[in-house]
Amino acid sequence: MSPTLLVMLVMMAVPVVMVFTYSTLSNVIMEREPEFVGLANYATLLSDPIFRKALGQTAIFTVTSVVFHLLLGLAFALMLNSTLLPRLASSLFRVVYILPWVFTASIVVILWQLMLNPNGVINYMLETLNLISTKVEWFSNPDLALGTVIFINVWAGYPFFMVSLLAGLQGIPKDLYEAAEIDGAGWRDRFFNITIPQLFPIIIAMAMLDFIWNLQQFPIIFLATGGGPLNATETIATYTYNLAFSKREFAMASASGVVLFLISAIVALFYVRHQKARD
Amino acid sequence: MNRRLAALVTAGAAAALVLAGCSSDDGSSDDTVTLDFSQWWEVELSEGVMRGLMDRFEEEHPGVEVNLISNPYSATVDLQTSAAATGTLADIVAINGASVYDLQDQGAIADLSALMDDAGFDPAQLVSNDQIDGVTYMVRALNFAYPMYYNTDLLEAAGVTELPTTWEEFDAAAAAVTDPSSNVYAWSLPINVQSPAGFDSQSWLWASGNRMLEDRQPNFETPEIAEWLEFLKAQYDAGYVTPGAFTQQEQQKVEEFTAGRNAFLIGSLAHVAGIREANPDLNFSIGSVPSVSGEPSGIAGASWGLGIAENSEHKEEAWQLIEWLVSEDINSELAGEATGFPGNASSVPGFVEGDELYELAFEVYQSSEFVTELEGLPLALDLNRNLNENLVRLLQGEATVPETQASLQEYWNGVLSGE
Amino acid sequence: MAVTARTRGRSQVGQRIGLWIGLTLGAVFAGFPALWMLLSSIKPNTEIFQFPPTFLPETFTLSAYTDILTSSEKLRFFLNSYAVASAVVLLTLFAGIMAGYALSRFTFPLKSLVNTVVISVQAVPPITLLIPYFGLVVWLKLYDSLWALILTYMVATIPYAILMMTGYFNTIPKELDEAVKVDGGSSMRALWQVLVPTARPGIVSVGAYTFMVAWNEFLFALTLTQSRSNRTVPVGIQLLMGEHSFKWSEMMAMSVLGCLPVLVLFLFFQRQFVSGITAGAVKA
Repeated sequence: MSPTLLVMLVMMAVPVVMVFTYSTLSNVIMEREPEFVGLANYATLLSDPIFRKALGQTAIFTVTSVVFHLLLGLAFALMLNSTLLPRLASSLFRVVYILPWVFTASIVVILWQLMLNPNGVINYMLETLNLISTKVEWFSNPDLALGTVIFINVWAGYPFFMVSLLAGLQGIPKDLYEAAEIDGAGWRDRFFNITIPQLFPIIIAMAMLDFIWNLQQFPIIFLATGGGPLNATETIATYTYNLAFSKREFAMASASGVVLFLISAIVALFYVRHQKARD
Repeated sequence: MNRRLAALVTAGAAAALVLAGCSSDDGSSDDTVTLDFSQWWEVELSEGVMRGLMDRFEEEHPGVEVNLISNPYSATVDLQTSAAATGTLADIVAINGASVYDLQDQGAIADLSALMDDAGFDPAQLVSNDQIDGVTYMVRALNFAYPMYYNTDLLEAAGVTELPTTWEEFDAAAAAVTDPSSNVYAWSLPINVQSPAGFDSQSWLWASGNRMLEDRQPNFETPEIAEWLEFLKAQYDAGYVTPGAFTQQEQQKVEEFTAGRNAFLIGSLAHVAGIREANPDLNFSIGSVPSVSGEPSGIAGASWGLGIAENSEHKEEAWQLIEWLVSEDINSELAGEATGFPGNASSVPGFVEGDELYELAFEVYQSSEFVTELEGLPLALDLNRNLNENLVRLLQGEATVPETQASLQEYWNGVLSGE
Repeated sequence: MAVTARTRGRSQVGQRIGLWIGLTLGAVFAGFPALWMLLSSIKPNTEIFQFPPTFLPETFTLSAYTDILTSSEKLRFFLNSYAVASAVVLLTLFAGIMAGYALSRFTFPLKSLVNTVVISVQAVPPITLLIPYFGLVVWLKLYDSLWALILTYMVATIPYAILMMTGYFNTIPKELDEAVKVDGGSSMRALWQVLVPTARPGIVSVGAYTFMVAWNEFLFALTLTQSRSNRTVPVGIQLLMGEHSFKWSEMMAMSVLGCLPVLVLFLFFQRQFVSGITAGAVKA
């Protein structure tokens, strides 16, 4: 096992170190002998208004996604866990509810592009129900694009929370609820005084991980809109991709990646502190 | 739990077996040279066509084997950049004009002029020989022309009896055809930024004999460019363009035309077979993209090019394969399969004869100059993205025509002036 | 007494109705796109783009499925995906359980540091890591092998598995494993005989997540392999998106075929979710 562990460590650490190094050099990969430029790449990056816009939109995208992942995941987990539900129904619903999870990002996007196309089935249904009068451009309207992309990301990502919380709910001792019921506690009390506190260690770990992952969410945004229209869905991840593979500024792209890393590191630090306080 | 565990272990063992099977593929005999050929063509052509060609090449060249590597078209450039950075670029790489400059700039692809000399190949056999600083890095195997498609049923129903040849006539036809209540629009203008492809905006300019560049430098602040941008804006504002333009993709555009919801389509000739197969009832024809004056002078085009990796250890054999692919007979065969025009000057595309549409297209192709303005430019893909971004801003009403011209001029200048 | 029983009965009916409404709405949200995919996979390409859209196919065709099922090359994509995903799940779970146990039950120097490193590793966007990582894989002579993918996905999933297993073990009272030790059992016995069975729902959920990561990943699968025999399903789907046109029905069909066994597997394992901790065990 230990040689494998060593390989794993190398594979984890070396690329990260290389990205840090790249971010302090002049254009790596394209130049034969890149020079050390210190923090110049970071200065250029931070002075770009589009980068700053992307930073703001990344925050909106990430926070909204995590909140809805958690809310939907928790709501669905509680419903699926209900004792009022026959076992067969519960089993079938569970399978339906994890569906968004089993598709690769490109299919998720293609599917929603088909359905949200101006001529797609969603507009058709909304038209039939007289909810809209003109064809809504879900992706092409700069005012709607970010919301649409977040919606798709929420759809694709909540099963992770749901499955984990469903598992967490099993770990809550039933006698806690029984005791509460004897004390005359309503469902609200039981939810806030037992369920939430019991799930808290799992929720906090998942929220942090989901935050870090969504900060970097790339395939869904890029395949759906490429960051457009008019940078309306530009996030650090799409911005970084364009730097690397469209503008071929690999050093700048590394710097942009490191910025994202630093944001994640701050979040991680809070988590670790919280864990420590718990010990 | 035990049963589950057993199931897991079995699955794991099966996985290990599969993996073990994979790692023992290397045993080819010593004298054989194996050429890796990375391309996206295999999936574009009918099944087995590409492999069949390679088998014939192998037969004619004992001791050389070709290993076809298929990659998704949309990922071609990214993959080649990464592969070149790690020295794993395949011996022969299919490239197009949008990436050739950057790959040579990265030092990823080899000097083909030298290889041609060594092999005694005369580049005059080719339709065109693109060079960067006097050196050839890419040989065009095929050229794809982008004529205008017409849905004749829609035009007839709208009372348009003659095909528009000028922008003015097109405008009138577009007005007659467009009917949002029955979901019909004149044309689609995909100007997305995720995978810019196609020439739906530029074709109008090129057809009128005008260009975005002069001597490889941007030349956007001209009255011709202003007129072109105004035309596009007027089309969009009048509602002739299918909704969703800012994120629409090339393939979705084709589906709109195939479904009979667009009267016009500017697209590769390669679409003919696909449209016929998908919607046999659709009546359509092909002609030139309308121009300002009515005299078509330029037609947009893309290419399937071939290059050789700088890190290849078998450059000589790799060149043999390229030379074979652009040789007269093989090249016309490839052209026929892909409905492209041959890169070899003396090849005749077999598909042209006997098919009215292809004959029309060939006429258009021959009567106009083949324009590939973005090909061979540094950061061609990025420039295309910037063009689309500026068009979105213009159509969205966030920039005026002069502002768009100035913005394009500035960005393109920044990229191209350092060349 | 009778009064409370009746109100409870009535409120239970209300709850039951509310529950069914909620679950049905949720199922539409979760399942409709998947249903649309299934329907698209049995329609010819043109019908997919018809307006107004058809719900049930006017022209029913299974050609997308026969195209895939008769191609040994395409079937290989499925085999590869399953092989990679299963291997990643097994290895990741093992590592996650061991490390999670250590982090949950023991304090040791540098614990915070280990935690921070484990989290930070996945905080660099894969896009920027791609080229350095690619170089490393070539250098390790793993390029174009399924092992490259297995190791890569483990790099991504092990930190997660460690964190989540730590979390699940933390929800289990320490008294439980201490009881084993009091009886003279070793730490390992406490782990495998008490903690692991108790945390089974958690392990299954970590396994499910790990499986999905390995199953759905595209960027590295595309970059780190090149032979058709080493391609996975996400790459296979992308290969159907051509320069000139997409094979819509076949993309959908490949996706449907890919997910069916996953769903069956989930159905098979999901009983683990409800057979977790028992009330008796906690009282002990």
